[in-house]
Formats: sequence, C-alpha cells, structure tokens
Amino acid sequence: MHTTSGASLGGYFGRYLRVDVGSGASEVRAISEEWLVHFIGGVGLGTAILMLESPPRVEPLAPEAAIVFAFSPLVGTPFTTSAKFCVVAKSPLTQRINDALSSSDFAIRGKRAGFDAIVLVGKASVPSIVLIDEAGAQVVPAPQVWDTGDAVATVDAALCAAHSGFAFAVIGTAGERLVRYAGVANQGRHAGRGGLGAVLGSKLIKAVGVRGKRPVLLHDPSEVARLAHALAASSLGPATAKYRELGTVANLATFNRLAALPTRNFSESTFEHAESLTGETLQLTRAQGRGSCRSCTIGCEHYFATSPSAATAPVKLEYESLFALGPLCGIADPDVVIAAASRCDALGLDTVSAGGTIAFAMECNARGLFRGTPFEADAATLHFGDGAALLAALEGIAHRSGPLYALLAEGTRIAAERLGPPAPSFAAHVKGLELPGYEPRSLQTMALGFAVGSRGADHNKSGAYELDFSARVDRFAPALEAAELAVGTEDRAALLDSLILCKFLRGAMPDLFGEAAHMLTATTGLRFSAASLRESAARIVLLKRLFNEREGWTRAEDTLPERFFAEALTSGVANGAILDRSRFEQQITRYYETRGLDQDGTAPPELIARFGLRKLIAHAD
Amino acid sequence: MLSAMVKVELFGVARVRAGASEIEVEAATLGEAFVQLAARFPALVPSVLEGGRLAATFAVALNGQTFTADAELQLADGDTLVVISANAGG
Repeated sequence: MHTTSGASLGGYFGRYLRVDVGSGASEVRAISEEWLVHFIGGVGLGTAILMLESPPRVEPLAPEAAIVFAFSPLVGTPFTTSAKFCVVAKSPLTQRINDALSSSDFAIRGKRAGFDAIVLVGKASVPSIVLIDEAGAQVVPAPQVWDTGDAVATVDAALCAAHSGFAFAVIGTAGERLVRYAGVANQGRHAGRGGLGAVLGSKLIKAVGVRGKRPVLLHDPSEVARLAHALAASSLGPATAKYRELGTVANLATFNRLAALPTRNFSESTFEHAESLTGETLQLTRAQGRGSCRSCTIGCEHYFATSPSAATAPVKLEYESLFALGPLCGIADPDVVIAAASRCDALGLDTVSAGGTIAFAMECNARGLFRGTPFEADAATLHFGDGAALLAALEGIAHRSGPLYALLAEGTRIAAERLGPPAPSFAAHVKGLELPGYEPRSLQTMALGFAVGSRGADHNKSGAYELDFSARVDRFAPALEAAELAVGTEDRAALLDSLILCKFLRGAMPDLFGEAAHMLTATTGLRFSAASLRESAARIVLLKRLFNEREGWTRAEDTLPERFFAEALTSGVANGAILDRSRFEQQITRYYETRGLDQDGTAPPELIARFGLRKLIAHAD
Repeated sequence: MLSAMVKVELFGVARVRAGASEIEVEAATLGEAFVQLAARFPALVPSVLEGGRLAATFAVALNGQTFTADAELQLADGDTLVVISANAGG
C-alpha cells in the first residue's frame, strides 16, 4: 500500500480479513488511507470495522454478530508495549459496544499474517478453531478441545503444540457456556471485560490462531529507532516506578486509606481487613517474581503464591482482581483471593464482573431476597467473607450449574431485574458492566466517567480518577468544569487504545499527542500531528457513542445505580459522602456540551459531519 | 507562623523508598513538612521529594481527604499528610 504521495506505507497493510466461520469462506477487504488516518488502529479501527460488519440491533450471540480483532500500526515495531491487540464486538453483557485490549505474541503474529484486523462472522457447525496465516483462513473442527474442563492455559499449550508457529486467543469453560462476562485469553493475559469470550463461544469457536512473518515496513527506520529508544528510556523512569516495584496491587492500601475501596458490594468504602491484602503484605509474604508483556520494558506483572507454603504455580494478580474477589466480597484471606483469581483465569471469567456479581448475590442473600425463590438452596452459603462460597460460585457460574449460578452467569443487571426491587438499586453496574474498584462517592469525577462511558463502568476508557487523585478537583464535590477535564482523560485513553500503547506509559509521555504524532509519522509515512490526533481521539469516542445510539442507547443509561445517590458512605475520611443527583445531571449535561452533543446526549448531524463520519454511519445503518 | 506536629503517611513507592510507613514531623506549612521529610529520609530525594516539593509522580491528601499542591498551605496540630503515587489507578 502507498500513501497518496506514492511512498510505501509503513505500519499498515491496508486491509482486513473477514472470515465466515460457518461457511469457511474468507475475504480480504481494503482499508482506505482516510480510515487509517481517522481511526489509527486498535479501538478506533476496530470500532469502525464493527460498525460496518455488525448488523444494527443484532443479538450479540447471534451468528450474524461480528467480532473484530484489531491491530495497530505500531505492532511489530520497536516501540515498547506495542505488542497489543484489541477485540471489539457488541457485548452480550451490556448490549453496547465493548472493546477490550490484551498483549501477547497474538498481536505480532496476527499483524504479520498481513492484516490490520481480522473479523469473524457466522457460526461453525461444530466446535472449531480458526487458523489464520499469510495464506488465509481455515476453520478447523476441534471437538477435542471443547468442553474438556481444561484450563485455558492447558488448551493454549495443546493448540500451540499441535499447530506450529501459531499464537492463540482462547476461550474457557465460561465462554463455551456463554457466561455473559466470559473473556478471551492469550498467553496468560486476557481481553477480559464485556463477554467477548461468550461471543466466540456462540460461534462455537474455541480459539483463534494466528501465524505470520510478513515484515512490518517502517517509513523512517532510523527515526523510529531513535523514538523507540527514547520511549524505552522514559518507560523506566519515575512515572512507572509504582508498576515496576509494586504492581497495581499497591492501590489497595492507598484506596483503603482514602476511603475509596469498594467493600461488600459498594456498601462501604473501607475494609477492616485490608492490611492482610495490601500489596506491601503480599510482597512480604508471597511474592514470586515479576514478568512483562511481550515487547514491554515496564514489567508491571507481579506474581504471588497461592499460599506461603504451597508449591503451586504463581498467580499474576492485579488490583482489579484483588479488590473484586477480596473486599468487594468481604474476603480477607489472601489464599482465597489469589486462588479465586487463578480460577477466573483458568475458567476464562472476567474477575471484575465475576466478583461484582457474586458480591451482589451475597448482599441479596443477606437481605433475604432469595427466600422462596428457585435460587434459595444454592444461595444458602453465599455470605460476605465466605471464601469457600466464593470459590464454589466461580465454578458454578462458569458451568452454569444450577438455577442460581445460571442466573449469576447473566450478570448483575439481568439478575437484579429477575429478582425485582430492591435488587436493581444496589446492582453495581453501568449499562450492565460491573463497576471496577473505584468508589464513586469518594471519587466523584470518576463517577461521571463511569456514567458516560460507552463500554459501561470503566476506569480504562476514562482516566477521570486521575483528576480525583489530584489538586485539580474536589473529589467529593467536583465543580462542573471537572466534566471538561474528564473529556480530556477519555481522549487520551482513546488515543492510547488506538495506537495501541500501554496506559502505564501515560506519565512517561508528557506530550502524548505530539509524541504519538512523531511515532506514527515515522512509522507510517502518513502525516499525523498533535492536532490531527486530538481530532481522531474525539472522533473515536464519538464513533463508539454512535454505535451505542444505533443499538438503542438513551441518556437514561448514563447514570449510576440508586445506591450511590441514596446511601451516604459511613467509613473513614469519606464519612457522609454521597452523590447529589442534581449536580450529577448537571455534570453529565456539561460533559455532553463539551463533546458537542445535544442535551439528550445524541450526536447532532453537524457533529457527525464535522468528524467525517456521515458516510460510515449511513452505510452502517 | 507556628509550627504544628503533623503525621506523614507514606504509601506505595514512597513507603518503599523511605522504608517506613509513617513519621511525625514539626512544620508550619506543607512545604516545610516535605523539607523535614527529606531530611529524615534522604532516600526520598529526588525520586519522591525535591526542593521542598513532591515529585510530579506523587500526590498528597490533607487528612486523607483533600488533595493539595500548595506548598504554603498552613498546617495545624494533628493534621495528617497522606502521600500516594499520583498514578494511583491501574
């Protein structure tokens, strides 16, 4: 592919592969230079492709639903943290757009098969795997790896042994059973949130394998090398020290001190047993070394033993898993939390949604809401703090074994709707996606970020918590202007997710848009600038909103559960903190205004035109 | 300005560097407290503290509630300064 000036295009192949896993037919489709400049790669490109390939109002688990694996122009280059890919689909959990990132050889081999993205549609006739390489795609029957009960890592290893040179993205038991928050695993990492594993499971696809050695051209190799060297050096500086030295588990002690640690289904914001689970405690008692993603210089992965004396395989633990399977469920025992995280990995379950749904069920049980229902027997042991019950629930949910676990496999929103009031008032989700580990009443700019997020409650697509942890806002009563700052954090996230580079680099790139423009220009030969990337980032955020609008989103979804407006916190420094609904609605309105949206949150035609999205939207409708 | 006895609580990398989780210092302002902290824990300089200020990758919450960057902020007896990583998320 060449740029409009005639030079060879670096970083991109200018095409994606569309595979119908039902018929086995595949087709190469061109991606225009305009699209590459507008959407960059990763989340941006994946969303644009999904908009075209997924029929409007499609049921996410229907054969017609599409799932996109999108790479970026920086995959296969020397830039640190660039070995990432994005999986995009309509979520079976939220019925809205879901984009999840992951890092591994899958990104590099998939890109080097010669594609900027891979799209799967249809449904296989029997459980199968999809193999994609430079020659194209094959849908291969693979009943021997389906419904075995094996951990995803075991299946991954078996597939790698059987198919030389391929890297795999694999679903677990949870994906096979269409658990609405089943993830997609790859080499020990996960595109975890939003149920993408169930989308693959609905297509009877156990795994997608990619293999390729096509070189990724670099427009200006010496400039790329210089920039990559500089970025690598920055990545080892003070901005990433926390991740290198402690990992994200360090958040637990901090959040507890600031009364921002969601505890017992968001009923409290400090956990009296937090000390047993802090990163510092885990480092002292059971640290088992560090690791890193492919092509990453930071090395944020910290491994921990399931117990100080057990000789079991070490488990990678992040804050989100620690909070969701620990304080959120009232669990203080690190043996249980680490074992639970390990089981989620093995079963292919999103830890945040799993923990959030189980915590919700624990509260339902405490309130007697299961009494006299078909769920009563299974729910009998589901108490906050009961580690055995937590572990049993994870197995039950992944297998949908019994009426209660089949209900919980649907996520908190559906479970709450089925149980009826008062359950929806304390089902901690936004748009169906369970909240991550940030207490909204203590971090009220983050609360806004959760509410307006196109994926649902999400700390990855909105970095608004950074504002709450700074002197720029009052975290308990942010001014309306905080909404404008929150928009900035979304745009930076959209850019990083489209480049695709790790968000842990954000502090190491003080001029994110300018630096990214240099990197992209040097890699591709296309003319990027800080201004054009700011516009692209805003365009990508808008496109995700437009996808949701097409699928039926309304302003009513941009909110938080009633609990956060009705119940004040009672612990620690957040005593008395509550969301004020009137102020919250004003912030949402300010957010819409800042984005150029109408009062009801929809995009006016002139905004769609301004970002050059009219043709895509018309085609996608 | 009268000095105050304040507690400084250290989290994350700051705690690792200092080798301690908390300390009491006597200071009239936030800036003075940081100068005292640096004197007591030289290992915090320059990665956490420099010139009486926190490095950009750290933040401080007065009494664990309100984040501030005002070096001239006057402190009162019994105040607590909670020092955390500015990139507190993940």
